[in-house]
Amino acid sequence: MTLMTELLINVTNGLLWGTVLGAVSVGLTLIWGVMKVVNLAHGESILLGSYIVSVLLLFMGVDPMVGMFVALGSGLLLGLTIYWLNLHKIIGHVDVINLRIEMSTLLEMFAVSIILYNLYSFFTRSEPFGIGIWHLGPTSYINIGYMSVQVNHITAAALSLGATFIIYQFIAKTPTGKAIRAVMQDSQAAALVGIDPVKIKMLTTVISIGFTAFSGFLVILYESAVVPSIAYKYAPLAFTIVVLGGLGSIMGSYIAGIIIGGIYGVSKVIFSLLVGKNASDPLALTTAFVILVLTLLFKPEGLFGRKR
Amino acid sequence: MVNVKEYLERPTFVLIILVLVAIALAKLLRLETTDYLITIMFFIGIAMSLNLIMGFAGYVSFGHTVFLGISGYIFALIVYYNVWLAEMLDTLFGIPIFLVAIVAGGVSALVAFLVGVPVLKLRGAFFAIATIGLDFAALYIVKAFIPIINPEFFGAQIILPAYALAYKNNVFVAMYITFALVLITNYVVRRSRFGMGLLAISEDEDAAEALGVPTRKYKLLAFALSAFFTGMLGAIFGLNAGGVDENLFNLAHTIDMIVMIVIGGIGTVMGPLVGSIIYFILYDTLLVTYPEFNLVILGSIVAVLVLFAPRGIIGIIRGKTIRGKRLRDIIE
Repeated sequence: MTLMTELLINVTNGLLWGTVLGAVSVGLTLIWGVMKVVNLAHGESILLGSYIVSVLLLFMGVDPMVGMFVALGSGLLLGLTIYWLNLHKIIGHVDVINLRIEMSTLLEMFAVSIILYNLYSFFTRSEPFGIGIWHLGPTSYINIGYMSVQVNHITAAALSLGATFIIYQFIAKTPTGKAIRAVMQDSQAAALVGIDPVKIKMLTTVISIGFTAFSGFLVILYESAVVPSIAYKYAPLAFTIVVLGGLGSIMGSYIAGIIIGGIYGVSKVIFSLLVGKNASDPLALTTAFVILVLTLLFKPEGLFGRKR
Repeated sequence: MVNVKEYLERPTFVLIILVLVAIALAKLLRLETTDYLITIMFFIGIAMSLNLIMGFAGYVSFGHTVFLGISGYIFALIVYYNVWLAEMLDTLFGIPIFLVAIVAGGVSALVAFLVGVPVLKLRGAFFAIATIGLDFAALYIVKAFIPIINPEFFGAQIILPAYALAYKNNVFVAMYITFALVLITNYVVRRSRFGMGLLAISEDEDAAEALGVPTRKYKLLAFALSAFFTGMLGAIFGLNAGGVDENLFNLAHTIDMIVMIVIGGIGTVMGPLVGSIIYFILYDTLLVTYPEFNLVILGSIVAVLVLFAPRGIIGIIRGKTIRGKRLRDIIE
């Protein structure tokens, strides 16, 4: 296999993975950007969707294309629970969110993440859980020239594009979406013009965690099986992508996700030339975190974010 | 001449001495197994090390387990490749272990310093996330290069050869010295000008800067010091476990550290000390009775504490009043 083909294959796969990463990060950029809640339970919210879809398929034979709506619904419920149980006391007011409150949300969501993670470990016994060989359509692979691409990966990319477009339109066009953006810019001023910031914050939490759980379906399409520790792979990447895309920018996150996926593909090829094939995958993931630190230092507002 | 009586009136100082004496007594009288004592010192020690940067300066370092990993691996590699050194580890009551651990901790401190120069410019959540990124970057680098360095290592795991293992008693001595150092450093820092500067940073960094606190220098020093002790503890703990693997980089250790500090109370010396003792006892008993749910229960405790007692158990105690006098005035 020549270098060019290998590059092409890796970049294609990286970009397809990037769309999943982009969709995964959209929920985080909303909750973090709008109300400064550092959702450290993001990985666990993703896993909720993955587990709901696989449990429905394995034990009840529900098609994942239907199961994804159940995943969305369960995510909305989780969001509602988290807001009233954990967040309302910290952020349920009109005042500006300062650094101290931000750190409280961080610790609180960290506690939520510990609880959810260990519940998953308990119920799944940390064994892989997934949709197995399920795929949309008659074949599981499509051959394009030298490449064979999994149908599930293409499905995931298409769904992520569609879902991100819908939530983008929701935030950009509907009155609720406009209210969310108003609270993001200045919650006190929003309150003056008749928006209830507390209600909007609750809505944002619900939407954000719901969308995140839905993106868990895309993750399981891509990974085909998940273990709890996959939360530790996706959550840090999502944070990287949100920072790169700019806090609060949905399109920014989605594009940044694709960029990170593409860079992952390219650096995988480069590292496999330099240090060998086995070491290339972990080193390619390292690149993402180098990008994170560089972005934080040199362009802290991100590629598409507003200046802070 | 230090006035002994004056020191005895300070509850934090008394508590530190009590803990040190209790552990020494438990060892001498064989009340607990050496392994148990080493583990409890490790737990309290890492909480107190993180306290230097998280408790005093208010910078929550989520990737602090990276220093456990780095020093653990450095220690294992040094011992693995220097047979003469490995054979020396078991002599002189564990002093050589302590010295090699200092080297390993020094590497962590150096990494913390180099990384801290850019990363400590970030505040709040961004710093926390950058340190998570640092942890994963280091983990993936170790995963990639350890198998290349020596194909005999199974994956990224280094199992120490038999000649490099030390008697538990010697490991205990090395751990005990390090542990005592961590506690004393915490106490000294808290009472010094340096510690006051750090507390000022955690209250309001811009105001502290304006008032002439060298914030940059202080933050770097605290971060490096914290990394140094975390690294030393990680190195000795790795030796005690007989080898290191990538689990040292697991965020679970960060969970331990942060939960201990939050339970006890942020910003004090006593808080993490009390918090980590409570945490360890809870963790240990819950592990026996509800092995699957112990972290679920501990997580719930943290969630409730952050909501209703953000200053931890010490914060609750300080706020109470007895016979019209505030308890805070009595214990300080």
